[in-house]
Amino acid sequence: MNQETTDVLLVEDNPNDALLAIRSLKDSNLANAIVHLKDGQEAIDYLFRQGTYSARKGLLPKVILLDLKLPKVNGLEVLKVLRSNKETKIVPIVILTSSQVESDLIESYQLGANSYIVKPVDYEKFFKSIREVGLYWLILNKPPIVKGTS
Amino acid sequence: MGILKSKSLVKELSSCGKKASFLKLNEHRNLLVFFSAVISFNIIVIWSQWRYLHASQQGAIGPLHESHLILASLIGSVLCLFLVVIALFSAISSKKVRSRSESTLHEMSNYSRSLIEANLDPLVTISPDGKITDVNQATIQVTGYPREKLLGTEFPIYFTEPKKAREGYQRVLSEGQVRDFSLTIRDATGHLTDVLYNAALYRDDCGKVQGVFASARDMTRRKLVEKEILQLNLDLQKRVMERTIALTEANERLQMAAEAAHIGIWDWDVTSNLIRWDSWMFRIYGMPESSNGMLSYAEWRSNVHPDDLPIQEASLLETVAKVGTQQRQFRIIRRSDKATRIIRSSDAAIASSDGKTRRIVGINLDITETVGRAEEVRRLNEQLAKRAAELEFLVNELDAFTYSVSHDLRAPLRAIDGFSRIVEEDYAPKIDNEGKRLIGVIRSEAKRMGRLIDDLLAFSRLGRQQIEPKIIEMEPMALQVFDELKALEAGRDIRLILHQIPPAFGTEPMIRQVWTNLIANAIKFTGKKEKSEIEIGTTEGKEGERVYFIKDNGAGFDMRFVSKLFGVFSRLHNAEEFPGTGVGLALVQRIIMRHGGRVWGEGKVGQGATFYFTIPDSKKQNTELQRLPLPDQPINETNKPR
Repeated sequence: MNQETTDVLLVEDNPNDALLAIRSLKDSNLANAIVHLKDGQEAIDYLFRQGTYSARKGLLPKVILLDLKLPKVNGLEVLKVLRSNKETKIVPIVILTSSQVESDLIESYQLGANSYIVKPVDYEKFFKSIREVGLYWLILNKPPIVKGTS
Repeated sequence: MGILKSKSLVKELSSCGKKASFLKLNEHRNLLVFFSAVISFNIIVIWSQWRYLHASQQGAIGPLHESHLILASLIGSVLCLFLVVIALFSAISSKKVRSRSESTLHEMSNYSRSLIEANLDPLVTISPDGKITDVNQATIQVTGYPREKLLGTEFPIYFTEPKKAREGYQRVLSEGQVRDFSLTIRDATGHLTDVLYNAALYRDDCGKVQGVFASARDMTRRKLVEKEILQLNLDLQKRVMERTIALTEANERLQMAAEAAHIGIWDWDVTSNLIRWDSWMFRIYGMPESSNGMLSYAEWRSNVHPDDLPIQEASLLETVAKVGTQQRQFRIIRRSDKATRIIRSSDAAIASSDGKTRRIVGINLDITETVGRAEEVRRLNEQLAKRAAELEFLVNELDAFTYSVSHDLRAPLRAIDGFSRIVEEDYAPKIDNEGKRLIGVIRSEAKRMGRLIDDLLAFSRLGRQQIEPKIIEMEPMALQVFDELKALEAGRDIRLILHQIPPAFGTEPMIRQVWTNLIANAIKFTGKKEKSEIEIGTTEGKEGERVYFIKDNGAGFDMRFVSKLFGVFSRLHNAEEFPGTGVGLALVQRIIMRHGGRVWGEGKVGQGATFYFTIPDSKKQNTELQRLPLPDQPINETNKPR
């Protein structure tokens, strides 16, 4: 990987949901650089440049779209790890999940999530939600200065 | 001269009184001496003269005879003189005695008079011809006449029955006395006094009847006192009777209560070491009733379970020593069947005046069954708690499962909808209209399933939500929900009749959900009417409970299927007629049931439906619910799905 800016890091184990999310973002012309990872451990490795991603040189993403129900390391654990690290602490994280359980919602915010979006079943609503998340976090919101560690 | 003096003495002293008899005796002696002296003198003189004559006749009178005569006269004179002296001496000493007796008599007379006057009883003396001869002060008082007026008057005239009074004193005269002769005195003012007369004759020294001495006893006061005593006695009797009845009743009550409660009563005389048992004691201990209901301490002791005996005896001794009350529990071996029974004993020590325990009175109660039942109840409770925990675990599992399944079902649905849309967009030119319609069906069904899942999730979530009751203003809430729902139905003519609805006590988001579902149903099922009419209010149910109702003029339903109204996914109308998932009313029922209320529906096909529900809101329940600790977390953290 070269040292390019990652706009969106999507952590999603369901390929269909991932595809729909990516399509929504691209159709809205909001993001070109989208990285899709399929489990929590991969996301941690990617962000901390370890394991498979030890050679990665890119910067931290502008926003992370994080599912909660993930294989290996679940979303809340990923959130906890990222928020306990000085570098990743400031990266905006949007929880994108099917879970409507209030405890998930509250714990997510307690662990430092910036936003919590429930994926609608209806594709049109889903599309709208993703586009609005993209619009807000990539265009409207002014992200913290994110630098690569190398 | 001596004779004269003696005679006057005799006359003076002569009297018939007892005190005079002593003087009389003395007088006789004096006379005897006196006469003896005179006779002796005469005899000597006669003898001397006879000797002189005899001698002179025989011519033997000589100087010797002369001297004999002189000597004889001399001796006679001396003897006579001696006797006179004795008589005189005797008379003088008699006079001394007499004067002493007279002064004693005088004193005694005064004393008697005082005694008579001091007597509170009217005393009177009556002459044999019935005249009053003397009275005391009490008589003056009771008759109201002065002494002068009374003396000399007829005794009978002072009585209401003069004839009887006359009979009275006449009987005394004839019989010597009367006892308790009843008469009534009428005094000067006419006031009557009942008296009892006791009278006797009085005589002079010679035994001659002088009159009647009568003593009256005022019976008025005595009668009053007697009456008072009688009344007091009657009162006392009455009180004793009442008290006896009360005691008997209390005793009966106690006995009956003890009998009904199967309580045995015992009474231990510490000094004699004997215990009195009532019949229940014997039954509790499985022993034949002794004839006098008594048994020895040792006999009781022999029934107590050996393991419990030391503690029991120590405890009993403590009661004896302390003079107090104690409660004990111990086992006995029942005599009749050798069964071990558990006894509860309560007793109190009764002390004598010296503060030492004299008796201990107590009760025994066989609590074996109670203890057994308590044990059973405890065991059942434990079982129940275990089952409840299991059930709760299962319910939570089920909820978690439902949630998980619903959650996992959403992703494929999103994919179906999403990819159908992508096909529609990306391959539009290649798909004809029928193909596009079919894709539309796929997408709408996917969305419907999404709604089903959402409802199911809401339903499942409800089971885990806490009930946090607060006062809810039902009327504004219903109105607000109605307005929100009506806004979604532009162009429809929907009329609401909202009656006054008092506040309820419930969990606000849940009760809002109830209104939402019921009002949404009313709006939905009146959709085919030109004018929708919805009425919301309250009515009074059984035992005055408040019943909320919502009535519509919509499609209604067939009462034959009323049991299916509240089942999950259970519907009485097809989806083409009225869309829906069949979860709404199930949700309403679950919320109302969790609030301890009831919900039911009434309807008629084509003529509308009415739904009723109750939320218990008695003050008692309010306070009870408010006392429940509210959880810090608004949601249940256990069994959350990931």
